[in-house]
Amino acid sequence: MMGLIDVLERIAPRLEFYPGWARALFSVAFVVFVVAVVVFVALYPRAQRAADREGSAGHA
Amino acid sequence: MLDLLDRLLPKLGGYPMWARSLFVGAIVLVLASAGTYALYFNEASGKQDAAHISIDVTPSVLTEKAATNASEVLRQPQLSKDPFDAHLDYADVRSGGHAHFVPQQDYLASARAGGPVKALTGLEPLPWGAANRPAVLDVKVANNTQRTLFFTEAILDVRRSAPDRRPVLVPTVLLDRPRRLTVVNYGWGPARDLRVTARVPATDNGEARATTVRVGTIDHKGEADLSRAFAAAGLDVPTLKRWEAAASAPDSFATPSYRAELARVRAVLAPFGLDPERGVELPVEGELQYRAGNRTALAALRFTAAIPATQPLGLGDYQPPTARYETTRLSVSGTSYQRRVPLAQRVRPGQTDRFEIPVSAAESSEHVFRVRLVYGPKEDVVSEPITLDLLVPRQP
Repeated sequence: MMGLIDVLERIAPRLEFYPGWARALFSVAFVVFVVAVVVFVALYPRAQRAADREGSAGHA
Repeated sequence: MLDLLDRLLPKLGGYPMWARSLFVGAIVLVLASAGTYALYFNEASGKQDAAHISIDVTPSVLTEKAATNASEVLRQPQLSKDPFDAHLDYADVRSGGHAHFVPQQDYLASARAGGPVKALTGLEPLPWGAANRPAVLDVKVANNTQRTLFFTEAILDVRRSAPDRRPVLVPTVLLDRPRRLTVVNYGWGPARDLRVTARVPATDNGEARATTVRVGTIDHKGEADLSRAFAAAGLDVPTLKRWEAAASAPDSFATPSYRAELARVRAVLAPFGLDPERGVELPVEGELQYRAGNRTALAALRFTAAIPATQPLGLGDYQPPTARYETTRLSVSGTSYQRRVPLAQRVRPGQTDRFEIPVSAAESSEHVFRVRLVYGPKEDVVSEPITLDLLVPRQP
């Protein structure tokens, strides 16, 4: 976690000197990544069960 | 990372299609962002460094050595308190974050405020030496980066240059032009429809009556004949003009008509406390009105001047020295000795001449001497006795 913060700390000051479209790209990527993580975590139990069902059906 | 993917990938099959699309989209965007970040890293770093280098430019006070007229500045230290002789500087008048360097000069400030300004006096219009100085850009740089910076060039990116056609009018009294006010334009554009309104105080302390003279458009120089203003004050201008004609005639000094005109002009000037031998200037107040460039509005400049009512006695042409000889060194102490200076000066019949002989000594000393100019085998002309207290500072 501290490593991530260190990386952000080094990256963040430089971001304002990137072109506008690049900063928009970084922002969209960050938001989509966070949403993806949230979705991944939220749906994880359901996906686990689905994966288990598929595994047991395969064995049967 | 690979282990993580290895553990996550088998579970992706259990997520709905939209979630899997979201994951793929997130991965693509993250990869694109990483690529963009790497691609523009150098450029962004350069800009970041540049943001840590500050530059500021202000007008600088000019040193005498850097002045274009350095020799004049060094030779003639500023002794006059006349606003016209004040040095030109530039001031930064910032507005809205935009630097604006404007000239600051005492006369210019008075003139642009509409006056009053005091007219210059001389035998001819003078070059404006005090204002003939360049604007100097004083560049200050601070380097707050971790790198050493070595500036090899300064480039002035000029977006626009345009001539300033505003006239700069300076009322000037030329001593050999009685009752006239000369208006010299030191600006680069004409002053149109120039009118000079002048008031000369009357002898009875009554209110001075203003008279106006139309001069027209002046590009460099114009002249207003204020004889009507002098006449309105009670001066007998025709008598003054007859005297001026008599005084300017060659070899007229001993003629009866000259003496008669001199007596008459003395009588005319006496009520004003003037005399051709002691001074003939009268105080004049007035205003210049003109249009600058293509503007239709009238600009005004109030002035005061001491204008000669007539031709004074003893006014001659300035004659510069025609030669300067080698410095002659006097003894610090001694009696009855001579120093000879070889000359080569020709003075034609009826002509005059002027030349310079510098003298010095090893120490501060007092010298009493005469100057004798030899012009023939046994002919000479001798000056009156001269006492010279010569100052030679002892150097530490």
